[in-house]
Amino acid sequence: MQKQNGTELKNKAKQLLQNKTVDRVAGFCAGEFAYDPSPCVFYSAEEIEENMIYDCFCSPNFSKFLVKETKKPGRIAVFMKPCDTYSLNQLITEHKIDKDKIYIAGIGCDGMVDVFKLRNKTGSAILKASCDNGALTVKTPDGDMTFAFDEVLAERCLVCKSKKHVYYDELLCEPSFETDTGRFDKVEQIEKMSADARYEFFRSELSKCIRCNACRDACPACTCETCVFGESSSGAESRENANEFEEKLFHIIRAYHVAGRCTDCGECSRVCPQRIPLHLLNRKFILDINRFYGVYQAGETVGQIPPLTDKNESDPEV
Amino acid sequence: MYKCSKESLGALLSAINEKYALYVPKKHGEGSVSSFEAYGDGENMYLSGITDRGIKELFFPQCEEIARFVTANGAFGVKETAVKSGYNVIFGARACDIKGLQTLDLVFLAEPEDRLYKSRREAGIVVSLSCGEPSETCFCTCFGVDPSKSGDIAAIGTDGAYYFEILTEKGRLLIPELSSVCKTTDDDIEAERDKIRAKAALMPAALAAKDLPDKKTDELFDLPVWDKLSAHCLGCGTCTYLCPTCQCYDIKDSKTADGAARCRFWDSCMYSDFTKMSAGQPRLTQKERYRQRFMHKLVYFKENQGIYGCVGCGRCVRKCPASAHMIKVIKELGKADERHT
Repeated sequence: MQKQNGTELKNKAKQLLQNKTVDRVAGFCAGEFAYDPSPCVFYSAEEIEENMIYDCFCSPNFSKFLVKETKKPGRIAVFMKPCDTYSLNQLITEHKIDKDKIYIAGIGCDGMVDVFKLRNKTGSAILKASCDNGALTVKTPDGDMTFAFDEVLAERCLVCKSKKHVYYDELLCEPSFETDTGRFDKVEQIEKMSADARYEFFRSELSKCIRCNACRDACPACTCETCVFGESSSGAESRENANEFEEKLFHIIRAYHVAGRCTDCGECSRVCPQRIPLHLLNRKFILDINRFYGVYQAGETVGQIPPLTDKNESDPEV
Repeated sequence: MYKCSKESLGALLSAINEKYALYVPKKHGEGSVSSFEAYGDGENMYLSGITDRGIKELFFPQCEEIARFVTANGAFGVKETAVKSGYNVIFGARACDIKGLQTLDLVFLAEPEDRLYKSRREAGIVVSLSCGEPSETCFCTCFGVDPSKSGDIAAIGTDGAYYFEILTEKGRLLIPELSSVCKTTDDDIEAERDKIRAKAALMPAALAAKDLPDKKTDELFDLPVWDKLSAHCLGCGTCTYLCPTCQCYDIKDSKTADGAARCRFWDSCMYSDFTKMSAGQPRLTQKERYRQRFMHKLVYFKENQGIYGCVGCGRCVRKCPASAHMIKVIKELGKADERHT
């Protein structure tokens, strides 16, 4: 559940505009349903008062969106959950974001709701939903239902890697720490499978892919101006799905391309309309990097050199 | 009309499956998405809600080979993909998806007819299933869809039974199977249908979208609100690939051992290389691509074909990673109506 409520964020946003710290604020606008807030940019206190919200459905990671936003003049304030700040650091390190153009207000987070999971639980229309005191209450045509928060949290939140903000201009919550919630457990389980079973696991998951490219488009580590899968002369266009090999090729190349830069933010799995656990590929690479080069968390600090870019005599491949 | 108990649905489907290729909605466990698959052993059927993926792909697959080019002994030949004969049955389709097929018909069955689509359309016996559990994202009633009755045969689930009403000539082909498991009946189920219709019309999305934009292209095209609506569109193809009416495709040739295969595959107007020509992509920014998609559904298709290009299934509403969905567009364009009047 979010630690800061909508009113606190609204007041802070208005204050940042009024004292001219920034000239616009990124946040969430109320959606049509209980769970579909849109990312929005606010230019005035009136807009903020009228439309800005913040709740346990405000999942999207704002960091990638700053790549485009910071190309515009002026400075933008953004409220960030701890996990978002890892992606932000990585993007600053890669010179994709000019940090003079951002103002980051860190907000506490106890996880965000996975609407697909919630829908499985309710089994009927979600008319209203609200998070309070570690529980989510949903209004459906069949009456109200209440769920403990960990029943409906997104996988990435259940195995949250850190409650610590690694970048901020101001912290609206108490400083917190990295967490150990067993996020590599599933990877280790897959590692124990036989090669055939492992192949079958990924084949079956990746064969669900419809090549919508949402994972790529949402991924903060995917910031190529032109993607090789969006360039017709590459012979591997963004949409062709001629055979199962295409899907595997796409996801495996993508996983390799973001290896060492992926912060495990989990946006890929959040946006996948087919519910493919794409984060498992990335997490496997993260775990391998940890084993071969020592524990490394992408985005932990600005300017860190990723082990796959760095070369040392102690590297296992030397 | 035919009536069978809820318990005997399996027997009916097995009877159909013995004679025809049968597709039913399935969901393999809580974490998995639902879609139409071969009936098989009848396990994992998912009948309680709209599927994550619709029936479009059974008529217009995401990727299909349309021809082969073969060179042998110095001669060059073209071999068009053969059209399959015989009927197949799709059970459990929702009325919105079936309206989607009628939308695709206007495109693929207009001259020149698309022979592969046409063959599948002629072969497909579609049995609809009434939508007793609509989602908050459902707004089919805004487009004149009747969620209780559609397809070649309309099945409706009541508390203890399924009723089957044959609506077309093609639907009559299943009379032997229906007769083998069900009884004929004169029960009046109109009240049950009305309940389903009323429930669907009260869904939040249906209430939000009830005032569809009734304006011409010129009045909507340059509205400033497109900037706001499209600002956070990721440019992915989720909405287009899950849409029951999106019909754009691209064609590509690839090498085979003895020549080349020509495949067509779904394309998306949301992509930066959609309809890219030597002079580039005609829609330079994501705003223009986004506007194209929604204007096509709500304005152009209606101007050209007489009906909206949206059927209110709500899949784009549920799945858009940025929640930049159809309901928001309809409401904003509705406000534009107010501003104009």
